Amino acid sequence: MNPTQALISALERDLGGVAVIWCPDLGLREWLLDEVEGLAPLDAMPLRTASVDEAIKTPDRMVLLVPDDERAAVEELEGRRDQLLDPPRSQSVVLFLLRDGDGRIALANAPSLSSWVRGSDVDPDRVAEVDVTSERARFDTEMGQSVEDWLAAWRAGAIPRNGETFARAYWAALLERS
Amino acid sequence: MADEPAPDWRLLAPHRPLSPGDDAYVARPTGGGDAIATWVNAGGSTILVSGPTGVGKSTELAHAAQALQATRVACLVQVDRMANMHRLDADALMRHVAARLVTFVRDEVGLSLSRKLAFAATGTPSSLDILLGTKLGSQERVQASGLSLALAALAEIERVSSQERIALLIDGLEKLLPGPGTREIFDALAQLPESVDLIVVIPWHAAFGGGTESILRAGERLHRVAALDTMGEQGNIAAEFFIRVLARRLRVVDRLPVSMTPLLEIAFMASGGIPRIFLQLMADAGTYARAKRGAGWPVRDDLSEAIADQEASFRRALLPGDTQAIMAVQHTDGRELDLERRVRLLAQGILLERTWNGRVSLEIHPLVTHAVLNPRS
Amino acid sequence: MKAWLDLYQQHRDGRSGSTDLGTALRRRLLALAERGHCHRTIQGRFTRHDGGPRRELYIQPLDPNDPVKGEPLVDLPLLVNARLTVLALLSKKKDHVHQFTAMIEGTTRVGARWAAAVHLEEDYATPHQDRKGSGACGHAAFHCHVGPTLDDEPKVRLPLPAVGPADALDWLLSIVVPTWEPAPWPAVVAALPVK
Repeated sequence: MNPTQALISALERDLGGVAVIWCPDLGLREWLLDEVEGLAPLDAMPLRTASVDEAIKTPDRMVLLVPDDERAAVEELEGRRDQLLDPPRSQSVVLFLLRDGDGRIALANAPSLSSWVRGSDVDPDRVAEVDVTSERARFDTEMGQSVEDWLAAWRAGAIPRNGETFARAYWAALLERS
Repeated sequence: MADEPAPDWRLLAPHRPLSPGDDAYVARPTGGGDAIATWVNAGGSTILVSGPTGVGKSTELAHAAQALQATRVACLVQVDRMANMHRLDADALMRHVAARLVTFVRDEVGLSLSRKLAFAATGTPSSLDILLGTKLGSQERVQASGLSLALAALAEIERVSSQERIALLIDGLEKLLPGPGTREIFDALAQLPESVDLIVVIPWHAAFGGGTESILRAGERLHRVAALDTMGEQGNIAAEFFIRVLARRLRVVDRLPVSMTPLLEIAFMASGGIPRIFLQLMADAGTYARAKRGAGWPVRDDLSEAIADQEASFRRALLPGDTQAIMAVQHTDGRELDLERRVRLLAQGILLERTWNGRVSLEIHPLVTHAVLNPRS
Repeated sequence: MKAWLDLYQQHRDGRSGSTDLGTALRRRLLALAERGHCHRTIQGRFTRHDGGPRRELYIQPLDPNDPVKGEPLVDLPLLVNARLTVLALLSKKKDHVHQFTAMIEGTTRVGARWAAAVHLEEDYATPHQDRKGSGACGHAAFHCHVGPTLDDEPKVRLPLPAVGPADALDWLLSIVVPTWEPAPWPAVVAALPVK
């Protein structure tokens, strides 16, 4: 599973349910918002809002709920969860919470909401994160040279350019020491 | 597997309880809506329903309402679909009860109720008024408390109905927070006539918090909708129940590929006997199969990733001190747990109540066991 | 000189918009799948790795054991055994695209090897950043290659206008997918200012 498939699974598992996207920080939260909007089907008409009330009153749009007060939003969703069932939603509510924020504690104290989102709360950035140390070691073993040495040869034009070698070059650039 | 048409895994809709009369309903092996209806028909007038999230309380309550239609005016009031349960007070609850009673009896049972009652309870004119173009002004609306309206509705329905009794099934109150507001709500419910059968889902803090005094009425019965057994003969029966639930929701009855059998067994065991978790695991696995390979049916890897997702969710739900507390109380009756932690862990289904030889014993949910034994940052 | 200077500055300015790039590329790949030219699971397989300060966008192979790399393209009238590669390297610290590559390799109907690629040079690894080769004319920071391979001499390194990586992918696909035209002439004419 890759982070995109994890997102798709969270967004599409429950027709009209609730998914949670865990965000490392507020800056990367914007990236994740763009990413989720990009994955939404055309008929989802994603709507960004900070209001739980607006989320409940918009059953035919995928609501990207980006609360100003995470704890208050989770508590309100906990108390109003079943209002999302009537009228039936055709699109999900996607709640964006900070990984180590107030929302996580609030969710642990919200059994009804937790039950709905279990398995559909995803941390895509954690899934995407590469173990640079072990991948560098694996690169070294597979290629017989370090990432930096391979990239030096690549940048010097000593390695043929094709799809396979470009993929290796980008992978090496990701692992390269800054 | 390729011969079977690919199902739409979103039909599982694990978050959505079934409505009364839904043909996807499968009778629960134990503790289901039929058992509730049987008790009420035998003369039990007050039933308090409890159970962790995702165990099927709402579905069984809906089925009980359907089953009781034969002998009563049985009205299901899903309060949590109408109100914020954290802000609900007694007056608002009774107004919702009154409105739902009037709407149900008028639209689904087909009884005529007085225009005054209908307008007072629902705020909308009757169909006759609409037909006649009668405009009802606000001054014509009876001003009354919620309890008064509910009592008026019950009295009128009792009078006009050919059924001897009314049953009120009230869902959603498990979400009420501890405090004086909740006590007032139950005091209000206790004022409803003894002639009305009350089947009420009770707050988790009442269900799991111990206490022996009556919540509503003397003689009330506590009906636990518990996680189903996963071991032994009862486990086999429960597994068959879960598979039938899945097949009915997916609309693939009798068409589940044989190759799915091992996956269903794994998902059942991982669910800990909680129907919603079983459905979530299978829905997730099915979604992964489609997203990863464009396949209609999941394979073992897809289910493994679904299980890993659930374990991660459970891991995030653990608060400081939970791991130690969980390990300390497993296989006990949990009396050593502090009240707040006990209610939270039981309501979440992180701890499950099992009954062995008539004694309640707490078991750690299997998906939590792995999370607890393999902690990650 | 001025034309090449202006173009180079446009290429540098065009490196912003990294947060939208993944979505823009994915939409094109999804459209490619909907036309039947690649597997429909590409929506979920076009994904990312994060390592330190950088993010890589790439297409995860449908079959990890496939010895031939790249996304198989099918039903192309002019190419067989075609493979698509789409790669981007983004900064996680700011709105910036470090590097972009989109490439199609295959064999023509008469059996000749064929490759085309668009390439936005990496701009962080060396003191020269994205200033490769001898100058902005012969080695524009954003250029395309066409040839039997990318290494056959003489290498054709055609400077691209500052259309951005996603639009450059459109151009690349338009070479091999006959109906791939994001800017049909009637729409262009209709959008022209009235004189």
